[in-house]
Amino acid sequence: MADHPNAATARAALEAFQSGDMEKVAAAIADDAVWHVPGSHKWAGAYRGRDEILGRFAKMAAEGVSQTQDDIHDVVGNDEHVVALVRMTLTAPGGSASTNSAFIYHVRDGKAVEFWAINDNQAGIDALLS
Amino acid sequence: MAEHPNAALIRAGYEAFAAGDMGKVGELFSPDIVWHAPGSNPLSGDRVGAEAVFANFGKLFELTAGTFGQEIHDVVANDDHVVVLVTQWWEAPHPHRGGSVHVWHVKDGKAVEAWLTDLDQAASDAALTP
Repeated sequence: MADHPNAATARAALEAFQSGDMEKVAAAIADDAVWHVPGSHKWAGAYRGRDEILGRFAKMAAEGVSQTQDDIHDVVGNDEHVVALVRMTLTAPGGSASTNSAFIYHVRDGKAVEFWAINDNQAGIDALLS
Repeated sequence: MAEHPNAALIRAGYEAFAAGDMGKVGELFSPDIVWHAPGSNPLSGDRVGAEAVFANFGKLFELTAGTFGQEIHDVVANDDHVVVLVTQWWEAPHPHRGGSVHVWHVKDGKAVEAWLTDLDQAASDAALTP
């Protein structure tokens, strides 16, 4: 079966993130979206609103922290949710940490309104970014 | 859009599990299913083969003294993967309630691999350790 339209949108946004096209990323996030970043490090927690969500990435970059998606393994979607299975690497001045992750998006009217993530190497990420 | 057939397949498996119809659950498993249970608790680790997975279910029921329950929030699927967003709870060995994400790899209408992840792994590890 063809990809659900919400899965196709999320995949395009993840690819845009990877190529640094943050305008395209922004277009896939609702104004009042809430982002739940797991872990106990300084960039973890809840971020409210598209500006705060994207601002987090800009602040991370300013401190030399970058996130790359090494592999978008699969993206599944239905009318309400999209789950992206990705391999990602976080790089900071002190080193790097790779993890398999599930990104869960609650989608409304074609835009992400809420985000949760699960990382199988949360301990490594917490150690790197704390 | 209508639910993907793989979503309906796995959803039926959860309903059978809840009803205690393990025969029906078994019909959904490939005989050589690989099962990845996260964390560091008595249920953690990889299990290979349907028999080993059912043995782990037995351990789960024993460990939680029959108090284990789960409720499906949503099932998201495509031709290869089914992702189940669930809330799980139990009273023993220590009370717990939390969100989990179950990623199923489906091939020819059978589950061939499953990765379970918990939103708060540390909390579920503590609650499953006597």
